[in-house]
Amino acid sequence: MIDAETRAIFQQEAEELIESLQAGLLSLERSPDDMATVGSVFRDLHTLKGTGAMFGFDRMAKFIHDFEAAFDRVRSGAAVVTPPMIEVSLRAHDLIVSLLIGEDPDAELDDTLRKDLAVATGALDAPAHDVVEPPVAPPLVEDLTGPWRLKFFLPENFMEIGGNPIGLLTELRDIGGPDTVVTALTDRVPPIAQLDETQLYIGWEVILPADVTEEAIDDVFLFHRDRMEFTLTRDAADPAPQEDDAGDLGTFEFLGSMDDLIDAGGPEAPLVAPDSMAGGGFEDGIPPMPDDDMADEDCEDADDGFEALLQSEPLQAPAAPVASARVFERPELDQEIEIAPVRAAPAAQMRVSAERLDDIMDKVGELVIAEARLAEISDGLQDEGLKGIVEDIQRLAFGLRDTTMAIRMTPLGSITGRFHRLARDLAAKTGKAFDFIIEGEQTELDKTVIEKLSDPLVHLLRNAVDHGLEAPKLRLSEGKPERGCVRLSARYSGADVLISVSDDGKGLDPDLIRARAIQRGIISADANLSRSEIYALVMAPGFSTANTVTELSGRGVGTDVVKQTVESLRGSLEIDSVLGQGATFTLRLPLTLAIMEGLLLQVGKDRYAVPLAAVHQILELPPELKDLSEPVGLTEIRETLSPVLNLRALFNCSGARDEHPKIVVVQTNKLNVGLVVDRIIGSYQTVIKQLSPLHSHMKIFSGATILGDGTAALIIDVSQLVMSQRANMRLKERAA
Amino acid sequence: MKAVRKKDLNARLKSVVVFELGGQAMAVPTDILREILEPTVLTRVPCTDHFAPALMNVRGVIVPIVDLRRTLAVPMTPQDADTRILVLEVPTQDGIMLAGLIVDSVKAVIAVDVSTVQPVPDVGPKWPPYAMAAVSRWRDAFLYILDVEALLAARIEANLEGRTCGEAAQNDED
Repeated sequence: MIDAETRAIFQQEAEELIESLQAGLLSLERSPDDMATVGSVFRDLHTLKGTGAMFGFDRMAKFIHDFEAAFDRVRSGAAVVTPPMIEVSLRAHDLIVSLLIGEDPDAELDDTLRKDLAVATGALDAPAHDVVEPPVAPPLVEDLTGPWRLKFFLPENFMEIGGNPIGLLTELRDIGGPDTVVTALTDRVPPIAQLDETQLYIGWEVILPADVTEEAIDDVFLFHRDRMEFTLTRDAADPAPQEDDAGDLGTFEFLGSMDDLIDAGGPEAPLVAPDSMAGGGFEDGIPPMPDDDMADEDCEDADDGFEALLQSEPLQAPAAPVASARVFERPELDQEIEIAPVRAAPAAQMRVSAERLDDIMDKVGELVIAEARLAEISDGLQDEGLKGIVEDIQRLAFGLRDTTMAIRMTPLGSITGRFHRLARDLAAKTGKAFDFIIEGEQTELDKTVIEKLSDPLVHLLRNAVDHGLEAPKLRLSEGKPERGCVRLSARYSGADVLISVSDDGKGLDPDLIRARAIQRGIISADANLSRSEIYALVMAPGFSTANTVTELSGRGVGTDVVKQTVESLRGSLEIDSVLGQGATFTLRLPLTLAIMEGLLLQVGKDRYAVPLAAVHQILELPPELKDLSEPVGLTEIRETLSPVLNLRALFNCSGARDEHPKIVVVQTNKLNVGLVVDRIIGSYQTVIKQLSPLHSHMKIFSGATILGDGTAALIIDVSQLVMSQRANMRLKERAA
Repeated sequence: MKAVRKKDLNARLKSVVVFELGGQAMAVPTDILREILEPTVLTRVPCTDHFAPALMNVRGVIVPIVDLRRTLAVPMTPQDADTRILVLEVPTQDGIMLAGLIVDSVKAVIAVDVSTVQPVPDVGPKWPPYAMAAVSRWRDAFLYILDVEALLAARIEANLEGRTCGEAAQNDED
C-alpha cells in the first residue's frame, strides 16, 4: 500500500522534477542545441509520468506521456527546439504543476496543449505515438477473433516502488468478467537461497474473453508498459488455440526496456530479436528485468551502465534488425548514453521525510539541554571521572546537533528555478527588458526556511520589476541603460543569511511614501521620521505606492505580507534605496529555526526566554525606575531616551520582586527597547517548540521551550511585543 | 462533520470518562483520552483569557491547558489534590491536537446507558449551543457529554479571526 510517507516523498520528488524540468526548458530557450538538456528534460518527463501514474495522477500521466513523446521527437532529431516550442512546453509545465497540486483545470486545456506541442514539434498528425513507444498494435489478422492471451512480467522491483500486481490482476478480471483465467508463471522464481523476498519474480498469463477490447487491456498497463514485458496475442476463434501459432500471427511486443537498452548501450547493446520470442518460449527470450533496472539506475555514470549491460551474458542474443535500424537513426550516440532515463536515486543517498528530521532535531535539542543540566550537577560534585564523561557527552551532543542541522540545510539554488521563469514572464508582461542575476545560489538555509521564502521572494521580484524598473523609454531619457537589472543575491552574515532583491529602477521616493502614509492615516502629518523609518512605512499593512493596480503586483497584498512571513521565520526585512538609482530589499534570516540561543529570564514566578541574538546589553535597573508599576516607561539607554517594557506589569506576573532588577536591552527595527526583569537566569541552547493552535495566534510569543527541570517556558518575540505596545499606545492616544 | 459524529455518538458512549467540573458531572468519550495527569507544573500564558490560560510539557510536547469553567458558566473551584488534567487527543481540521482539560476530579470510566441519552435542549443553557454532544443520566443526576472537538474548533476559528491577546475573547457567539 502507498502510505502517507511514500506519498510525501513522491510529492517532494515530483516537485524537484518539475523544478528541474522548468530549469531545463528555460536553459533550452537560451541554448536550443544542447542535447544533454533535451535529454534531461525527457528524463524528467519520463520519471514524472511513471511515478505520477503510480500515485494515481492519471490525467497528469496521460498528458505527460504525450508531452514526452513530443520531446522524444526533439531527442531523436526529428524536431528542433524553437521559441514557440519552449513557450508551449512551459505552458504544459504549468498544467502539470496545477494537476500535481490537485487543481482541476479545464480538460480541454490538455488537448489544446497536446495539439500545440504536436504542432510545435512538427508531428501534428501523430503527436503521441511515434517510433519509441509503439502502443498502437499493428492491424490484427482478421480471423483472429478468439480470446485474448496475455502474458506479462512486471519489473522485479515493482513492489518496491509501490506497485500492486494484485490490483492489476483485479482490473483485468474486472474487464474480462467471470471467464477470465489467470495463471501464474513461476519459472523465473530463483532457488530459495537466491530469493529476495522484496522482488517480484512471478509473471502471469491471463486469458480474457474475445469481446474485451484491446484498448481496455492496454489501459490496465498504460503506465507500466515502459518497464515491463508484455505480450498480447489473440487466439483464433477456434476453441483449440495453439500458442506457437498465435505468436507468429498476432503477436506484438512491448519492450519499453528496449529503448533503455538502446539508449544506454548503443549499437552493441544486447538486444533480443522479436523473432526469437515468437518462435521460442516467452520467458527465455526476453531480457531479464534487473538489467533494465541497471540501465536506468546507472545512467548517471554511463560507463557503468554500459559495462553492466555487456556483462549480462544471457542478453547476448543476436541484435535484431529492427532495433539496430532504430539505433542508427539516432545521430549522436554519445549523448544518448548520457541521457538514459534515471529512475532511482543513487544508492548513496536517501530521502527522509522532514517530519523525521524534525523529530531527530527535537531529540538532539533535548539532549543538549539535558547535557547542560548534567554539566551543572557535575560541576558541583568535583568528580574528575564524571567531568571527563560529561565533557565527552558535551562534545558528542554538540557534534550531533551540528550534523543534524547540516542535514536540514538546503541551498537557495533549489528554489531559484521558478524565479528564472518568473523573470521571463515578467519581462514579457511588462515589456521591460532586464537582466536577472542570481548570486549566491549555493547559500544554504534550513529547509523549512527555504520553503517559506519562495512566496516573499516572488513578491519582491514582482515589485522590483513592476514598481521598481522604469519603462525602457523612460530609462533611456534618464540616461540609464535600456535594459534594467534585477539582482537576487544571498550571502552569510554571522549566524544569519542575508537575501536581497535589488533593482536599478526609480527607487523609493521618501516624500511620496510620507504623503501616502499620512493620507492612509498610518502616520500623523507632523510625524518626524528618519529616512529608514519612512522606508519602513512601505511595510505597514495596506500600504501600496503603485498608482494603478496591476495584474502583476496586485493591490495591497504588499510588503507587509512579506514582512509577516519573514518575521514568522524569526527574520527581518530591511529596505534601502537611492531615489532614481534603485532599491534593495534585504531579508535577514536565521540559519535554522529549530534551535535558538536563548537568554532565560525570571519575572516574578514566571520564566521567559528571549533570543540571545536580539539582546544587546544587560543593565542594572536605574533607581528612578525602581517603583515602575506601569507597563511602559522611559529611560536613557546608550545616551538616547528609550522605552522600557515592564514585563511584570505587562504579563501580570505575581511573585516577589528581586532586590536588583535588570534591564535587558533588546534591539528591534534599529530601536533599543529595555525589558525590565527580576533576574537573568542564563543563556542556553533552546529547542523551539511550536505553540498549539489555541495559543499560536499570540504573536508576542514565538514558541515555547522545555527547561532542564521539565517545565515549559514561553519564548518572547521581541519585535512583536514592541509592536503590540505601539498598537496599544495608539489606541490610547485615540481614546484620549 | 458534526452530523457524522452524532451518528456514531452512541458507539462512542460505550466508554466515557466521567469527571466533575464546577459541581456538575460531565464526560468525554475515552477514545480521545490519552492520559490523566496531576497538574504539577503548569506554565501560565499571560495576555490570554480564561479558555486556555496555561500550557505544560507532556513528554516533549507543548500542550495547551483548557479551562472550560467560564465557557460552560460553572463555578470556579480552587485547585486541590483532586484536580486533574485530562490529556485529550482532539481531532481538528489540521489533524490531531493535544489539549489538557482541567477538571475538578475524575470519577469513573463508565458505559453510558444509551436509553437515557437525550438531545440537549437548544433553549435555556448558559453555555454555547455546540458545547454538549448529548445529555444522559448517571447516578440519578444529569451527565453532560462534552463536545470537545466543537469547543476547540470554535475557539481556534475565533482566534484565526484575529482576536489578539488582551481582548477577553468570549467563546459564546452563534
